[in-house]
Amino acid sequence: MCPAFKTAKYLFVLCVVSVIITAAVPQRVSALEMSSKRDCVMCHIMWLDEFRTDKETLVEWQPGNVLMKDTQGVVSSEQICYSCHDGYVKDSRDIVWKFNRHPVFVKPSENVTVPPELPLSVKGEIYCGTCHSAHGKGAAPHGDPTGRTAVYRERNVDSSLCEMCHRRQADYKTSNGHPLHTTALKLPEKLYMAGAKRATEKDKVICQSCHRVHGALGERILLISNKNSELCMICHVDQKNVVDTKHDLRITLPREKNIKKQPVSESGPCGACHTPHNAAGGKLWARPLKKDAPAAPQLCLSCHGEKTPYKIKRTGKYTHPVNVPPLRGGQPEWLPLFAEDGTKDPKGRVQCFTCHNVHTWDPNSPLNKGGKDVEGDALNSFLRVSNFSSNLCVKCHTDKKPVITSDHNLTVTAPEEKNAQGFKASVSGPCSACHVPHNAVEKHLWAKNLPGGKDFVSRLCAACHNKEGAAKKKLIGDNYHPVNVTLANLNITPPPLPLYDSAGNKTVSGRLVCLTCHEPHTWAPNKPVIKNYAYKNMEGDATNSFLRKKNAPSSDLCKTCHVDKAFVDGTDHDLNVTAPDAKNLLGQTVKESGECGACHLVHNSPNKIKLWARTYGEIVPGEDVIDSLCTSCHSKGNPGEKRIPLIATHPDDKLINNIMRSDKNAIDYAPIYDRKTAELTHVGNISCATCHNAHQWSPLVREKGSGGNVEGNATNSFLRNVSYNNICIDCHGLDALFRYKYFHDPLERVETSPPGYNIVK
Amino acid sequence: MRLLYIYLILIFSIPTVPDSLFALECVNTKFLFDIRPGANQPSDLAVAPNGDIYLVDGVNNRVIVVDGNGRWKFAFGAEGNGKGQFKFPLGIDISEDGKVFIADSRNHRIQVFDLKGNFLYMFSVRREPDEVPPDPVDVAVSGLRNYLYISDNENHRIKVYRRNGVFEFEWGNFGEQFAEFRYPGILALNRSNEIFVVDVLNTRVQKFEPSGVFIAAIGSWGVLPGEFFRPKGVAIDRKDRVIVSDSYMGVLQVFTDLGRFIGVICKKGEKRVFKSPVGLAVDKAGRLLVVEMRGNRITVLKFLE
Repeated sequence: MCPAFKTAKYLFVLCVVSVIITAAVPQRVSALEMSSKRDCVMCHIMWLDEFRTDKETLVEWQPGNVLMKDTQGVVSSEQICYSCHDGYVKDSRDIVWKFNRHPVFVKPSENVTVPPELPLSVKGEIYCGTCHSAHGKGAAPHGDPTGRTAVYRERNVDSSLCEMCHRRQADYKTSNGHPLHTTALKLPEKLYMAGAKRATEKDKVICQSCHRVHGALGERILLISNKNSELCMICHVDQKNVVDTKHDLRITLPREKNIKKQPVSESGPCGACHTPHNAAGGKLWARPLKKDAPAAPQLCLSCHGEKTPYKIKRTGKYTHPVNVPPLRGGQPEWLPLFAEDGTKDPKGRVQCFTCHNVHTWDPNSPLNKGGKDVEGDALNSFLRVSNFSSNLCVKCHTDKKPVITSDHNLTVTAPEEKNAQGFKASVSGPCSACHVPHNAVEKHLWAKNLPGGKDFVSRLCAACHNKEGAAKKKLIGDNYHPVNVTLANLNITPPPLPLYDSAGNKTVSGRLVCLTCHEPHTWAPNKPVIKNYAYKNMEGDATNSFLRKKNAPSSDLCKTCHVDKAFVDGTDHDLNVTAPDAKNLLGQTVKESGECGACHLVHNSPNKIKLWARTYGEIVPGEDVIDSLCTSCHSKGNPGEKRIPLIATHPDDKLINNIMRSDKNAIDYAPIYDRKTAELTHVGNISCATCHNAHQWSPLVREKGSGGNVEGNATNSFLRNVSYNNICIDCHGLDALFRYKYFHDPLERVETSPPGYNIVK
Repeated sequence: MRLLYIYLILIFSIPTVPDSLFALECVNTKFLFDIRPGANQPSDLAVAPNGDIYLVDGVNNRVIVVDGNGRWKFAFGAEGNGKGQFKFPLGIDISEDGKVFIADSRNHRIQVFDLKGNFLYMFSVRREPDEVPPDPVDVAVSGLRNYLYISDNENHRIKVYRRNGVFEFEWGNFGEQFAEFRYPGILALNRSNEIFVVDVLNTRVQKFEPSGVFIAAIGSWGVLPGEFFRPKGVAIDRKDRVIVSDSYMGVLQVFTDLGRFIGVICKKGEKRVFKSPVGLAVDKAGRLLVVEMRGNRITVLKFLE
């Protein structure tokens, strides 16, 4: 073998061996290479040089410059993310891929404004890289307190990354959204257990309090499903009571849709009326609201109003006013006030939800849901507090509270009496026996059917105080104080007691009606709260009887209007002074009846003349009947028996005309009364009252009496006028001075009186 | 001298011959059927001695059992940390005596069941002071000394226990050298009880002796045939070939047990593409079972050889 052949053979063998060795050993062992490029390529797969050769790769090369904004390279594809987050490097199977997550590969909606710092894909779509980048400002270890995590493109302090795009939701005050960054409500631990992210401040509400970008169990990336408002109710625990009540529209209006066109089956019971973002108004209201009207009343009236299509529980023509300031300008006890937009405001107004808690049917038992067809009453009906015994009404109407301890509390005196809505007083409570807040039959929220005729206010009273009514034992009789009259002739301005027009409105130019003297909610004006009240048809007197003012022993109420009669106080005609034990026809002493009541009965007087409260006195034939009032006392056995004139009549054949002395306000007033009817007239005879004003001791001194039993003379003695200017002069000239002096002295009279004429034997 | 030049030219020309000059190396397979048992991101499977297939449906915290033809049999497990409950398990293996071992990942433990799904016992994977909470993502049952090999993914270690839960030894650290790991994942054993560990972010499969001594590394990083981008699953067939799934590239590749690339799993010469292939198994009949994690199915293939 030639050397060359040997060499060639050797080379050939060497070559073959080399080839075999080369083929047997793995060709690429670059897994061992420490390479920063390799770590980049861990995600940036398209940076691999192998794509830039003519070798066939196992995946296709997809160009895409990730360094340019508004691009989406393979590096940000879901497949790249999942290739590590499948559990074999990091486990995000449940968070990202099992449950709901923020939409990707969709164009941002009109409600979203994506800032330039957060790139979109070439198609203008959101992709993983819009929020995530391993190199972004938010890149830091997990749990970093400044809101940075491993892969956020921007920092995410208290959901600030969310707010970069969802600006309308972040600006919740102008967009009517759920409050953010507030700590007003304690966030329960249950919320965090459901996946809420803790904010930098305790109880602070952030986007991620309700939403979870990845791993959300609920629709709209809510932490949990909210189809039955489960998420809302984690925090809004009290509102949970709405479930299964009539205000759970799943029960009552299952086809109803909110302003987002969501049926209640989708929105849940809360979402039927509230929506967390872009609501129609305050309270996150999710139902239509008119812009040109206060929102607060609409919240309820958009369903319960008169002009709605629902026809459910409308409030009626006569309903409790809303959007009005509270009585006495302050916040009522226990009850909230609200601004016009419906938000709670201690300086706000009375709105529907001042009295109603629309989320709880029965304030005393949240478990009592009522039910679709259950008719409510004063104990439930979504009232904020039970209205048992009108407890709710009197929280504002505190001045009406005394009615509870009075005969006007029909739950005691007439429990079977029904109001116009058919509720017995025992069910409706004291207030609602006469007033109902909604669907009243008349003004003043009147709850009883009204009789016809009379003035409006009298009809209110007559609803019970009639012969068939609940107060049939408390009627005013045939002779009673005039009503529906003005006080013009009393010349009192302003009127000291309330007057009413024909529609029942209080007005200074109105008329005197029952309510002028009576306050039907308070039995005794000086004792609004009565301890140990008998609660049953108590017989009243002038100290109580629902009078606006105490009227005994001093008749303060009467004297409020009858000012000119008030001078009777302390005179001999004030029986408190001269006859405290004397009784009127009702058997009342003057302490019980008041000094006016000793002689006049406002109601149920058997005597028409001056509503006389005593038995008429005797008069002789031909004597004016008006004198029988005087003789009822000034006669034997009666309080005025010591003051009985020997003669008290003027010759009846001498008719007197007082036409020039008939001005009641003039100093020379000398009234003439019809002999039989005691009505004022101008031609007749002199009666006691022609010369005497029984209510004023001295004609020239308009003041009360001294309080003692005083002996009079010609300058007082209840005389109406002074002697030199009286009606006697008209006929008798200066002679009248003597005649005047000796009118009651039969011996001194110039003309002998007819025998037997009113001379007390 | 001239001949020496020729030799040198020949030698150095071999690695530089363009691959594209060669056709794709293929291991052809035939699609038999797939199994869609209603799983959500299933991860791993194991074949019982009776041929039933046990599939880890970790996101639903259960194990689904189907027969060899894919017919539903039963499922066991629920979410929780009690006995028989899971928190996102990932890995599974079944011993020759019919014990089902589950890597209950987020409960940091191994649970053992019988073939009917009855809970037998469990033990926690131990945590060294320098370690994060254990993250067992797979378990492999060895016939040798009753060893259980557990890949502790986040601690980058292989931990070895006895089947009764007694710790034996461990190896590995975070790193790229041989016997180091960056997120070890699915395990497989060959007939010699040598252990194959998918080293996910090192883009390789490492082969060890039963005692943990390094033998070889299979694959490298890249996107060419024989390279990995996200290797996830590994299985050994009856010919001791090593089959490796790549969840990103969606392919399965076949190697010799020393790491020599044989070919890509193909269908009539074209690579088969799977939807996030992860866990693999070869059953007694030689069928290749592929868990497609995002396909939520098991694809059953037959080798055509």
